[in-house]
Amino acid sequence: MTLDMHTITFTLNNEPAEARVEGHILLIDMLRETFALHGVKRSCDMEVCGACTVLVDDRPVSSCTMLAVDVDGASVLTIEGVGDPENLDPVQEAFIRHGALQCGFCTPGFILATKALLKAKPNPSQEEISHHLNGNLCRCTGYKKIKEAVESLAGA
Amino acid sequence: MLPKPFRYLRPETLDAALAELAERGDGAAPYAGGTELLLLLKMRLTEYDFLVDLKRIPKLREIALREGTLFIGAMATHAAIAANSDVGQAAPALAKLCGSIANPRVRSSGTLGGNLCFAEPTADPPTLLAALNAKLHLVSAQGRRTVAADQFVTGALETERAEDEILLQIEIPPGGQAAAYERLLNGHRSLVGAAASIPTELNSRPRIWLGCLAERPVALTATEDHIFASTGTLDGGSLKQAVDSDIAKFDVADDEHASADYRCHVASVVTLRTITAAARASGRELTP
Repeated sequence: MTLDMHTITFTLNNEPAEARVEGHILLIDMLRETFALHGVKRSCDMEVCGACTVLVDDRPVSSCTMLAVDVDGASVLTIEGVGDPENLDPVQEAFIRHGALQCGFCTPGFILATKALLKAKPNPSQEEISHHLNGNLCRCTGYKKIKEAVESLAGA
Repeated sequence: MLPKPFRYLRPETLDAALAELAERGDGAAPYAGGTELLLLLKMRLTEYDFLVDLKRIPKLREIALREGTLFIGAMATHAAIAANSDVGQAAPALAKLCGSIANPRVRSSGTLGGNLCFAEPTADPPTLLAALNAKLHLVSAQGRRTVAADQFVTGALETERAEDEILLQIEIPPGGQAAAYERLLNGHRSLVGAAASIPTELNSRPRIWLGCLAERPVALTATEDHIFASTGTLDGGSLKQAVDSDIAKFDVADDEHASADYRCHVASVVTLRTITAAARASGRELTP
């Protein structure tokens, strides 16, 4: 079988991007290997844990279970495109202020899921926050502090 | 894990997609949100030489309400359906369900058509669409046909859809307001899911369907008869007897998630909750 190469163009962390990928390559592997965006974590590999969350056109997706060719023409945001060490995003600041992370492995997914929620619903209720974050797993914090961090951003 | 390499095809029209499927035969699979198909491909439980992406065919994503009948394109995502005001008006139980399938990431990518065609036995939509008396429109190079939603799933991961067919749209007839869907989750999959549609007109038959008891949704016909025969207030005690007599007809086995006894008990509780919610939506009284 000859290589099934596709040229895709998309926006990656607010910059124009282009890649040549085979049809069966997963989005997570293109982001990690071609673009060295290692904030995208592979963990459960079955859309349950949320560690591989990236935003595609402002919606959260599991990059472990989406093809790279699927983002052709779309806008992709990874944690590397959110704030920078000198100028953190308000969601990152809230997570630090509320102690909403320990080991940090799940944190990129939580931050991106929170950004998607606040974009769609700037003033979410506690119930809406729980419903939206149900699908990102953290094995350190017990979620209380994560929810407090997100609640502190509601209506901000 | 990585899937075994396949060729990715992205037809831009329905005719082009049908031609690809007809030409490639069983080596090709229609590709929608990928939330279930890619998992199987990654685990190497199945393999295809070609994936035919249907997501970029705009017509397959349309949602429209025409004279009370709701048409949902098979490639509409769960998130799009949950947020659509026509769905919220014509079939609120479906909007609510699509807003709580799996997690937000699966709802962003996963499609209603993909969910139906995959026919995972714990999937929720097939049960609710059976109760809503939905019709599924299929098309192949040979022509079009319609299959009742309650006949579409034929077993675990098996449906009426032929390999060269594409599910075009889901049609939900008027009357979808007086329906409900309730489930008990076991992790992120349903242990039991029950759907009820109780028409406001007393001369129309109610539809009560239960998922996860068998490999495909099943109708609770004694319960339907009981509700159909009751005028006005529904009696909770005799309703429970009807539900339990229906559930007892099925040969439920113990599995790794639940004993048969527990699953049947939960099925009874969840079905009664669902009927209570549908009766309320239908304006019917129900005594405990």
